[in-house]
Amino acid sequence: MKEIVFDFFNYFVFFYTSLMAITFIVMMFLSFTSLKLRRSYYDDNYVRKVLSESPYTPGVSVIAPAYNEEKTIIDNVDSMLGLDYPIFEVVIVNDGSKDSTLDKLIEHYELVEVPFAYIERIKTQPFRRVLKSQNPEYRRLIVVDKENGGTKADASNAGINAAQYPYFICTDVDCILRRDALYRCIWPVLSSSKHVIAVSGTMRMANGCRIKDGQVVEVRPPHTPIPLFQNLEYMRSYLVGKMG
Amino acid sequence: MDEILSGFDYLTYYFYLLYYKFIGYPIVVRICIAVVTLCVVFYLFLALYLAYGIYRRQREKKLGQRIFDRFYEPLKEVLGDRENHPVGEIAQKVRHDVKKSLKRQEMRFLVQVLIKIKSELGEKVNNYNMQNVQGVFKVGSFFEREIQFGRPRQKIQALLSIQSVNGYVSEAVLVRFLYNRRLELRNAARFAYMWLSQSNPFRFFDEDTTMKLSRWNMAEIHMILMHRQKMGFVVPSFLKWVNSSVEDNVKAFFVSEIKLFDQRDNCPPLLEMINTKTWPLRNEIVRTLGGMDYIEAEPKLVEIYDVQPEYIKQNILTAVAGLRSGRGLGFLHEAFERADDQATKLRALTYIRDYGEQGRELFGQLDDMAEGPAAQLFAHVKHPLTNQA
Repeated sequence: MKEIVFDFFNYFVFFYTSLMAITFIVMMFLSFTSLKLRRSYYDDNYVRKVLSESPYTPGVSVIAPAYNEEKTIIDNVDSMLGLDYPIFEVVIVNDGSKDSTLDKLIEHYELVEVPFAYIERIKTQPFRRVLKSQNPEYRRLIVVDKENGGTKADASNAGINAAQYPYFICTDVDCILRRDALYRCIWPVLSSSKHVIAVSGTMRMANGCRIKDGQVVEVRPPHTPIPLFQNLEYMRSYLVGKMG
Repeated sequence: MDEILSGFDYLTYYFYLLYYKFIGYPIVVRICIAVVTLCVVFYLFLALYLAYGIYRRQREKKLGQRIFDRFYEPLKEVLGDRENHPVGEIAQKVRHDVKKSLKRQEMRFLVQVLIKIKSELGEKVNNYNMQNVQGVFKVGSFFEREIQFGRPRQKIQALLSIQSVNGYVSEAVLVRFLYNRRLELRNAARFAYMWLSQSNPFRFFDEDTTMKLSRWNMAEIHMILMHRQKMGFVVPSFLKWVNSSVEDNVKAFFVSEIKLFDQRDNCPPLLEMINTKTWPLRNEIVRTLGGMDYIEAEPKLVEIYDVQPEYIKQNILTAVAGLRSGRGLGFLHEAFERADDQATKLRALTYIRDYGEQGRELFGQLDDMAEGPAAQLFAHVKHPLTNQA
């Protein structure tokens, strides 16, 4: 009996690791060909030139739930407001923060409460108020203040309810988006012959990178071993796993 | 005497070494070992290929930086200068010998520099100087060589770059790729042809009635049409392609272009087509008739309103509100009262408020009577910061 159990365990480990190895390598090959193909047809300058003044460019809502982000909220929202795209808005959902996240937003962006006709397409925890800026420079910003729903999904849904554009990006408020991220995300939606319902981006760690004015100006790997391995794991999962 | 392995013998030796190592194991295990071994070999190959790719990219990056440092500032000065400069003078300013040509890879980076400068300067770029700069560096010949002899990616890049720098290539070069089986190359060639051709640039719309267009293609075609209009070429009437195209989204695209190029003569035929069974086409016709202020369409729009899906209803409200015939206010009021979709109600209410003096008066009366959720809608419409982006 013991031998059978040991044999079973040995074979299980063997086949499991073999399957993992084969899967990773096959996906690496698939992602390699897929990346080569995508690289062929996307041209930064040309895409920007076409979409920047086109009446066919769709609007995009950037939705970012925020919970207790007082230390970095202003820098991160500034970074989002600085995105390069002709038609977009930034919806920050204050998910019942217990710190001064909302107060900082109100003070910095001159926010006032507005009587927003909030259409609850998706059920969420009740929202308290919607705020917009009196400063025309921040006209793209809208802040939804709501009660904490326990999950990020609840906050994202509230952001979707408040969004006015047909496309939206759900991101974390502490994520730095590339300046041309919206162009890159919308291009496969517009150019595909098939109906595209979602587009995913590639995430990397900001550790070690040089960041200026809310944008990554130089990409570098982290210096310490654990974040370095974590970065490698991110790249494996996005560039190999997801792309494959 | 010792036997020495050579060439293929090594592979045979290690193959049998591996084979006999696992000879006592079940067949499934042996197959698994073989597959993993092959994968390891493939993985090593891929790792080497990636390493080589990284090395090549670093080398290209350095080359690109060299070209940028050498030509960016002098070219920006020339292209931003209001004064026209001949070829010889430009060659002197950028310190380039006209008799010599840059290498192909260098030319690719130079074209990127030109595109960057053009996008920075926008309308301020001196087009005469731009043509002469392209003469100095023989950019036209470069494009032709890339399109004829480059790899598919390079061909497509060159075709897209022609539009970005107002470049020129002979139509004879493009003709080969107009019917290429590779869709991306075919589209890039066709759009470059439309951009450049002075004789029948839109022949593909006549020839290929089953042509499919993505929204990206539509944006590209619109940009080309705008460019041609700016250059003084006549924009064709799109109605013929609305009738001849098989794909509904292509029909809808041409209807939209009718509005964007203000082809008012096409309004009566469009009104006749409004009862089409295809909703996206009907939606676009509604938007076009409203966008071109075709007042004769109002009775028909009001007539068909009730049986439309919500998004077409909203566009009918926009159209009627925009027409400002004086008769639309009653319709907007009724639409507001009967709408069960909040977004439609909100839209109708906004248009009531914006419908001149009478509209504001009606809005005020309705606001006074509003209670509960309806009052929230009125507050939303009244506040100056809402509906702002």
